[in-house]
Amino acid sequence: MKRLLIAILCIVTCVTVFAKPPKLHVENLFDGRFNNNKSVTVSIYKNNGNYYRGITVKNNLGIIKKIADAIERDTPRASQYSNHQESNGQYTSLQVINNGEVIFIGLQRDQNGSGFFFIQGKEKAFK
Amino acid sequence: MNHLNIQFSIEEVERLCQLYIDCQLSVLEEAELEYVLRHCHFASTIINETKDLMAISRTLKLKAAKQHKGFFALPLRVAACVAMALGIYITYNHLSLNQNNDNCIVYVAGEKVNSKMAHKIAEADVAKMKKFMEVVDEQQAHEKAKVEQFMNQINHSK
Repeated sequence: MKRLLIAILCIVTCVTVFAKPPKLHVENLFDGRFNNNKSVTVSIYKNNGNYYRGITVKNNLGIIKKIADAIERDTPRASQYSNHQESNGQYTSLQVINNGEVIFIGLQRDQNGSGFFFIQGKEKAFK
Repeated sequence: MNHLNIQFSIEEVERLCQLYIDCQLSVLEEAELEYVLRHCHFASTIINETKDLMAISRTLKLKAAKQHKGFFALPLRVAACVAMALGIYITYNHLSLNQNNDNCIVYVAGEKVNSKMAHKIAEADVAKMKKFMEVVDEQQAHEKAKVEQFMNQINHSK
């Protein structure tokens, strides 16, 4: 009985000390829902401890809106937020800190429903 | 023991045994009677019957205690197994994520592309992201400069 209790305690401690994932709304966009979409390019790239995920959209306002909504929902968690208009489109940028690392979130979109969206950061930030 | 023998006569012990059989004794009194019977040497039909009854009662209590213990032990074992499985799963995921140093998956227009092409597209995307961040940094620096200029103007007008 004692051994069991010690084992449970050890496991619970191990699980607790594990870092928490950020659980951002924008992360849910990479659940595979756009993988088969003809107007989308989805890329997931992990290299030397850096983690990058991006979506490029061509002429699909619906998807751009979904991405913008997800960013909007994550805005309260951002340590830095900027939104401005350039000649080639609107730039929205967020920085979220998780596990002591920065997660960069960006969306560049035009009025025709085309855009480029990404999440990038150190792997540690996503664990 | 001697003290008990002096205090109780066989009639008294038999009377107590009768009360025990009739369920007239409290739990404490039953325990006391059990103690008395264990340490005295009186023997009669009713005393022997009472001793047998006490032995049966003791056995039943032990069985109940064992069952009670078993009832809690099973969920505890299941919980331990689940916790262990969870721990192993998390550790495995954690390690596998760390071991896989270079991983690239790209879908273009609904089709998964091969590894070489995926790397090219991903690297182009990363370059695009860096450009994006440069634009944002530039914009932020521009905004900061504007704010500073505005503040300087206010300070100047004072």
